[in-house]
Parts: sequence; structure tokens; C-alpha cells
Amino acid sequence: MDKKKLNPLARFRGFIQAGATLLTNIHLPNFAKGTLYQGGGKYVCVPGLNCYSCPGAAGACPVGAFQAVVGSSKFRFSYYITGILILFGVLLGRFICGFLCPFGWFQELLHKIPSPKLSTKKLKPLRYLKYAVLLVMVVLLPLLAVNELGMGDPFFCKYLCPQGVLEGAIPLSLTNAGIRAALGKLFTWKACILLAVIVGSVVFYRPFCKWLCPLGAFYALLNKVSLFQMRVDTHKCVSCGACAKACKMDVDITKTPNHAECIRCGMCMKACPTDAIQYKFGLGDQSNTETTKE
Amino acid sequence: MFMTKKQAQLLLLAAGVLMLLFGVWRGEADTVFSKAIRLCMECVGIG
Amino acid sequence: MKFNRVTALSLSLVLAFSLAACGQGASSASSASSASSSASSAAAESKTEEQLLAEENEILSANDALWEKVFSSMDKNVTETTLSTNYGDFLLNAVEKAKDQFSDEEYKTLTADAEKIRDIENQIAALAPADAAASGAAAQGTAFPKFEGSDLEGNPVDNSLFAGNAFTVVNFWFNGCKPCVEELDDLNDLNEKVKAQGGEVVGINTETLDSNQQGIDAAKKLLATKGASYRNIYFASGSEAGKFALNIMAFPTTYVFDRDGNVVGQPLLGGIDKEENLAALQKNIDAALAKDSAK
Repeated sequence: MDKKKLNPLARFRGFIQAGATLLTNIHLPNFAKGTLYQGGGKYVCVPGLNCYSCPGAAGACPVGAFQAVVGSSKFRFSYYITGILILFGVLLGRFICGFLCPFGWFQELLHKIPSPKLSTKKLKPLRYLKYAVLLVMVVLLPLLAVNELGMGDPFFCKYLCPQGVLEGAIPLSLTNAGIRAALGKLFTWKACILLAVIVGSVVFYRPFCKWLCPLGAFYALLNKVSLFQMRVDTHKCVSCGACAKACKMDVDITKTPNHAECIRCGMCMKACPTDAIQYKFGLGDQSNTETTKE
Repeated sequence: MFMTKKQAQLLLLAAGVLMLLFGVWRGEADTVFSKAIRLCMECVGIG
Repeated sequence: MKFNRVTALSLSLVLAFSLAACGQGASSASSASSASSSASSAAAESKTEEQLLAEENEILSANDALWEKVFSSMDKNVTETTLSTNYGDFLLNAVEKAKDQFSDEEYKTLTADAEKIRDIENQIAALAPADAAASGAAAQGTAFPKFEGSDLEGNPVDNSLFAGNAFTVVNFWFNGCKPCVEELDDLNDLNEKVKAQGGEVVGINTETLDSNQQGIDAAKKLLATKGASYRNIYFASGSEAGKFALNIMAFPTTYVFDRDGNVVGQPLLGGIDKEENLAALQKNIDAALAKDSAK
């Protein structure tokens, strides 16, 4: 029997996630100084969910940036950020979630903490919640709930996003007395959300990604058309079901290779006894060997 | 499907690039920058 | 397995911090944070400076009647030299000039007081960090640097702005900041109120620095819509004052400065359209007023 060698991407996913988190927050000295990076990198957004109020943040948060543009008095939609997100999404789809998002990595690390683990298979309807978060909190509310000047609040950032508390509020309050003094009821609410996500991540696998993340929702919409795809070689597949069992996002890859919930983590590839599952990158439908047209 | 996957991919890539450029042209990148380099406290959920 | 332990430890730290902040707000969050940050050491320094300044005030109020005479005889022009001289020396000069208004004994008392104040001033100067140049207090963020700029109508403004008011409330904001814009009308109301107390509210919009016309136009529009008529000023971003403004990261931030351009109390983060923030600002204003009347 050939010794199976797992695709290097999947094999080193943890390191890639760590590296991506570091690169996304490369300005480490700022944590001690309690200041933000104010350079040109902030004109662009990073692919994952990373608060631009994080002292180390090298770029803007895509969700925050979108709301900032829509919530400004000058604009009602952001072509710039949507364009960037479409590019990210069409190129990589939810590979971004699986490999490049700091908050996704955070939840996975928490999940490694030993505890009883609960399956989310029966909670599939909750997956639709993130689309509602995307539509309502990220798009509609900043657009419609405006003051007399046409300015709207970034509702997701303000009321829901736990990443902002983890990366922004907490590090900044540690070094800045003024910010500490300003922490009020809103912070309490957000911190409780963070706590809930933390506890949830120990027990469930990536609950925020599955149920709440608007960025994940957007990339999910593009998963089916992304150039980065999953391929199941139907000749090699013996329908043993090991992949579906290994998948923590509750996807059966043999039935739906580019399912909206697939974060391309490669756990199915690891579980497959016949090495039938592969990563593919390119134009056209490469999801199974029956249709290999370019 | 009214178009192949490849056509959809190319269309979306083109759309993405065009939207990006249009957004920059009308000044959206500056708005992003001005918000990203400052801590608008309520926006982050402080206070 | 080792990885799991390290992970568990670091995550429980994160949990501890968020638990500390959740529910109990400022006090327990500050006790949970580690002590040796520049913020806390700066606080320790300015506390001592405050104590020293308080001592100065005590000396002056001990011989109130005599000092009143000196003050009323003083040349009221605040010039470059008066601003940069040690306050004690400045007082000594004033006492010298007014010498014939006092008896020998009174003169001796006044001179002794002025010399004590000079010592205290030297002590305060020694508190400033070694690398602070002429703008020692300004570099520390405890005073507003000397500046030359304009208001939004183009009229020139400079440091004398502070000397002309018992206290000056300075609000830092920018155009895209919704909570900043929300408090503009409240700041205008505050301006009307503090006028009677000899104070003034001044706004600094960081997008108007370097006479950025776009920023200025947008700011004017926002101010007009909110009915805010108080002064808004700008200056060069490369100047000391510009650096002070650009160092500010959290918006809106509101400082209270005394007559000499020194910071009174801690800067307020957040809009004064919220009750608790307005109350905190009012405390700083009251402190500045008290300080001013003790002079």
C-alpha cells in the first residue's frame, strides 16, 4: 500500500494560519505602545476578519471597511470593498476562512481545549443566520439607520463583532487609561458576546464561522465559483463515508464538493483511505474527474 | 445554468476588478483609510 | 500536548481579562492590567506635578492680599519671554517692579514666596523626561505646544488663545466620525454656557490640518448642519501641535486646558452627548476654574 502523503497545504494548515495571523497583525510593537498603525497598508483590507482597531493590524477589516463606506454621508454602497471581496472570494472562496482568518484560527485553538464536544449536525438551520447578519447588520442598517447628515453606525462592528473586543478593546485598554475609563455598557455587551463565542468554540467547532460571520457568509456565496476548489476523484472514491464523518463543517464532500460551508480545511483529505480528495486551482469545473474540461 | 462555471468565474473576476477601480476612483479608499487609522470608539464597541 | 497547555494558559488569560472587563467596567479592568505601562508612569509623574502645582497655589493664597496687589500691577501682556521664563523668576520680576507698593517686610515675604515657587518650578521641570526639548511638557502631552494656525474662516490663531480664557475645552474630532458629529451641538451648548465663566470651547478636526480644503469644507458643512458656531482651528501637521493632534487615536477626545495651556485632569474619550461623559468633563472644567481663581 502506498504511504499517503497529505497535501502540504492541508498538512501545514496550522502553521499557515499562525503565519497569516501574524502577517495580518505584523505591527507588534504597537501593542505595547497602545497606538494604531497609520501607514498606507490601511488603504487595503485584509482577507480575514481582523479589526482595524487592533494595534498590530496591517490593513483594514473588510467588514468594518464596508460599513465605514456605506455609513459615511458620501456613499451608499462600497464598490471598492465589494470588488476586493469578490476578487478574494472568486480566487479562494472559503479557503480564506480555513487558512487565512485570524478569528477562525482563534476558535480552532479554543476547540483544542479538552472538553465534551457537541455536534452541530442537528443545528444546520442556524447557518442561515450569518446571511441575515450580512444583509441586515452590514448592509441595510448602516445604509438606512442614518442621522440627518446621512451617517450610519457600523452596526456589526458596534453591536456584534467579538473580534473587535479581542483585538481592539482589550489590548488598547491594557495600555491606555483613557480608553479604560471609557469602557461602558456597550463594551460589557460585546465582551459577553466574546465570552459566549469563546465558550461556544470550546464545545462546538467554529460556531462563529458557521452561524454568525458575515464575511464567511459572503465568501460562502462565492464558494461554488471559486478557482480554488475541492475535487473528488469518483474513480478512487469507495463511498466509505469517512470524509463526511471527519468533516466538522457538516459537509458531505462526495455529494457537494464545493458546498457553501466547506472551509477547505482538508480534514476529509486526511480521513480518505483512497486519497480521492484533492485541492485544485484553476478555471472551470474541476470538482470531479467526469468533467475535466478547461 | 445559463453559463459555464468558467464564464461565471471570468465575469466575476472582471466585475471585481472594475468595482475595485470604480470605488477607488470615487474616493472610497480614502474613506476606508480615514476610518482605519483612527479609533472611532463607538464603532469598535468601546463606550 | 504541550501545545494544548500553552494554548489553554494563554486563552485563560484572555478569558480572565474579558471577565474582568465584563460587568465591572473600568476599575477591575485597570486592576487586572499590568502596572508598568507608560500610561501609569505618566499618571504618577503628573500627579507629583499636580501636587507641586498645588503647593504653589497654597503659597500664593497664603499671602493672598499681597499677591493680588502684585498681579494687578503686572504687565498683562503674555509674550514669548513670559511664557518661557520660570514662573518664580517671573514673579520675582513683578515683585521688583512693584517694590514701592510694599513695606520692607511685605517685600521680603513676597520675594521668599517667589523664590519658593521658582524652586518648585525647577522641580516640575526636572520631572519632565530627559529627552524633552523646549516643549518638555508639550512632548509629555501635559500641555498644548506653541502653535500658529487659523480658524476655519482663515483668521489667524495662536497660543494666546489659552491665555485669553480661564480655561479652554478642546475637542478633537474628524469628519467621518459619527459619535464626534453627534456631540457637535452639545459642544455648542457647552460653549454658550462656559462663556459666562470665562471659558471657551475650541474644536480641532484632524482632517483640516495643513489647510486641507476638502477637509475644511466638509467640517464646515457638518458644523453648520449641527448649528455649532464655536471656533474650530487647524495648523500644520508637522508642527508640535500637529503631532499632538495626530497622536490622538481615539475619537472623540476632549481636553481641558488652563490659561497656560496645561492639561487639567485626564482627557475625556467619548461624546458629551452622553451624561456620564459630560459629567466627567464638567469635573475637569471645575478643576480648571478652581486653579484659575487660585492664581
